[in-house]
Amino acid sequence: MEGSHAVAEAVSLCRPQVVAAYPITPQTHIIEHLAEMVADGGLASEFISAESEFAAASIVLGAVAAGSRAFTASASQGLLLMTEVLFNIAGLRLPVVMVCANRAVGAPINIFSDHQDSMALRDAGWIQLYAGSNQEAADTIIQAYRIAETCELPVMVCMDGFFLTHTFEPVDLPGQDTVDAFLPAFHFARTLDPTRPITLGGGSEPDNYMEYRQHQHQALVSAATEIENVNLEFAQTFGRDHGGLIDAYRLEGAEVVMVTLGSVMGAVKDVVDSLRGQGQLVGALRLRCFRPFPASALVTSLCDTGCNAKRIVVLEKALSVGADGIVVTELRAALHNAGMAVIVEGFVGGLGGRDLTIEVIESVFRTASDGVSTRCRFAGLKPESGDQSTMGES
Amino acid sequence: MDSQLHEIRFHGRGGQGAVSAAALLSLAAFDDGFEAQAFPKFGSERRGAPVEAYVRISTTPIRRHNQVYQPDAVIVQDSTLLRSEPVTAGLAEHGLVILNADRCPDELDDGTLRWICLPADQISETFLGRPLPNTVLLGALAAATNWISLAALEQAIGNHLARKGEKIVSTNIKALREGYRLTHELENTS
Amino acid sequence: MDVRDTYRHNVLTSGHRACSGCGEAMAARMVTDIIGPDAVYINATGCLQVFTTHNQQSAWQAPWIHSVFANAAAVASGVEAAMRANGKDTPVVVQAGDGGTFDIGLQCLSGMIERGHDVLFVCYDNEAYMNTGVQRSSSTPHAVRTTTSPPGRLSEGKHHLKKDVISIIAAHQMPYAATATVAYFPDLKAKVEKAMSLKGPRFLQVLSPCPLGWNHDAAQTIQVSRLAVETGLFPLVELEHGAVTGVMRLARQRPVEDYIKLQGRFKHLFGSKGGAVEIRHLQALADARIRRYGLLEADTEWTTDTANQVQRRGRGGYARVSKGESQ
Repeated sequence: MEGSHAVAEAVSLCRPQVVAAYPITPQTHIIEHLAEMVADGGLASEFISAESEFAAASIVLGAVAAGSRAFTASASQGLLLMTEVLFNIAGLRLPVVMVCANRAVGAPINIFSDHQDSMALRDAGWIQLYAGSNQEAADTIIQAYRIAETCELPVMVCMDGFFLTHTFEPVDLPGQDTVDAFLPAFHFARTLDPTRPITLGGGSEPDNYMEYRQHQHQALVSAATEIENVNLEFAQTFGRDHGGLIDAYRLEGAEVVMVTLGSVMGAVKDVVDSLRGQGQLVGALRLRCFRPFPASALVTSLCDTGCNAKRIVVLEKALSVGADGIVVTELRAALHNAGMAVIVEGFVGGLGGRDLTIEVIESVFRTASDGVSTRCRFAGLKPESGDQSTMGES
Repeated sequence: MDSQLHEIRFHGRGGQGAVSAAALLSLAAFDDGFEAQAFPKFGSERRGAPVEAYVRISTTPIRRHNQVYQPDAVIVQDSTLLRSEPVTAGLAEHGLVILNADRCPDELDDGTLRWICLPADQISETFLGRPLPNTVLLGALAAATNWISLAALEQAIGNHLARKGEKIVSTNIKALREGYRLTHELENTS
Repeated sequence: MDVRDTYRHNVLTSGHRACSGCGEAMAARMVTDIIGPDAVYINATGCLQVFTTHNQQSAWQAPWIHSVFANAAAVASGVEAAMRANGKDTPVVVQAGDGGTFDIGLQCLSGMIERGHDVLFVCYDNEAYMNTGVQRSSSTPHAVRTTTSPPGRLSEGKHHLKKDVISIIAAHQMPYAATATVAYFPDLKAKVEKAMSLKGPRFLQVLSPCPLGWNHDAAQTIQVSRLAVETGLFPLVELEHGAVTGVMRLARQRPVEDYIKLQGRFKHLFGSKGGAVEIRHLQALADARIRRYGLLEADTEWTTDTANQVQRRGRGGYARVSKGESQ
């Protein structure tokens, strides 16, 4: 089935009581399918067509604060329009679950996929999980509600627009009974209830604001354990293990490891198999969880447990313009903090929907290390761009 | 890993159902025991504008989500696309082209590709009352390759079109079979 | 046990940090006490939010949430949807200032009304951004001095008219929209009660003088608020499904000078030729509003003289205004 369809079905299995959204390509098929399910009576939920993404995020904020499970989805400009509210949801520690159908950010306006939108929200205080396939996207929705409601943290499930949302591939959806057993009925302690009046969202001053943030940070860091545990329990219950924080592939003895996130991992795995077939010691690692940043899991996977990477290449679909890739920067810091002197090279590619082809991925693997690599390099630029950092046509 | 992968590209015009045809083919392949994936050429669709859709059929799980660059077969739903779209791009020598046309265009048929041309509009009009060439062309694909069985396509039509009613299912299966039959006939006479 | 059964209390209790003479604090206390604690209150960012929930303290004895400035109506939409989903009929009430209503919050408010959410939205209208230090809003009347519409050699204060927000809201054809002010408590009470008796989106615009921003004596809040009505600058009206169904008749029309001379925000208009022109302009605006709603000739028992003295017999103190007159 189509990825959007699968995700909508997974959302429905989680029995959200309120769904609010504003349509934006490539998220539309998700909310259209949810609207259909509500219209047909298959999903008992309040479906609210918001007048903007800003309102959609605010509606789910209110719905969760008032004691119901809620869902929204967006992408790109819509996600950015939600920004103020998304920070607020995280600060209020409300267990909201949303999907970001990853799409590039304008200008120039572009409806195709990259990770610039969700990466711009990396400091918002949301857990961010990136799906590698439609099966994983659907399964991650179910996990996300468990994680969110246990940790009182919002979770953003990121799935590549078009590459996943618009692709038909086999997805095994669990039965309602199994999901009900895995995901208890919604519970949130700090609800707006006249019998126990509370004040949510009041003022804070310099004498306590920092402690709020420190607690929030600690909660997000601690959520890593919950993400691992929920993944393990999910694997036991449903028979599918997507990796908790990271999805490691053929790291045994790997000397060169590609680190990436999202749906490109499938092609990366194909390339790893083919290069291994030629005797090259390569492996790959996908960040399934980007927030909290799984620093220790990365260090362990890349530097212990049979993998002793000499060179790490990061291939990511977003960048901090004027600085470098985002994942590469954080990975370098994590390895540096762990005392690992491994070369980490960053490549930015797949922006605005440009396909990260097998050839581009191979060329990133093959690019000779320049030994310094402090410069952000682009993978898959057109030859005529003339940039020395152009990759993919060697 | 011993894997057999077939990639098929559909060319159509917005509204002709290229994406639906691709989805139908992938569902049929899945029912036939293969791994399958279908996706549109990404972007917004406008009625009448050229559209593309792709299918991968494989004996092993399909992990990549790249676009298709070197298809093993292309299915062209509208012969006017030959004028504007590079429909044969990426095809290897002897790659298969299934074209909705009364006859194959001489100027394009230089022997390097395998052309199957059948009047799918007329056939579908006979069975469905409207020129909806999808199922006829899928029948042709089943006949011209061993990638997908006629039975699996029939089953997929039954499942996929069920909500549109019994009549739509049965007439589409007839159109599918006619595409299959005619292609065998064309292949045997050529 | 419900702790609120053990004592009598206000929904908005004492100890908050509003300025002396704050019209918004008065209005909010009146409105929330009429509605009571069995409701969920959503607050936009603004003075009311700041002075009632200062630094980990709260003056609210009912469930209350503040999210951000612009989204109170959308948060309320979500709260109301959750109540519906959980089979509860807890009333949902938004409180916002004129910034959160006329300006940054207008889109969310329009969306909430259009979708028919069962929410009462109360705007405490103090005609400028008081929370940030008196900057002009689209509710600020013509010729008013604010920090972002200062009078100067080329200016007599704000260049633009006060936005007619009640007409914009009522144009959504919603069940109930009304204006009120703190000077007429029985009228305000009747309107809140009427609003609470109805289902669907409802709107109240409560004129709430701000001694700081309007620069009037803190003891004159009620008097200033009454003069806004008596001059015709702030008509007290009710609209149902877009049509005017009630107005408070003016026992007599007071000149706008009586109103503006009490307030420092108009002080620059006195003693200059340009200022005199603007005062005539304000008078013309008042006259036009009186004509528009028929405030002098409406056939109603209740007037600006009697509204606070006479025991109302149920509702309906207002005349029914015929359709012809409502335009």
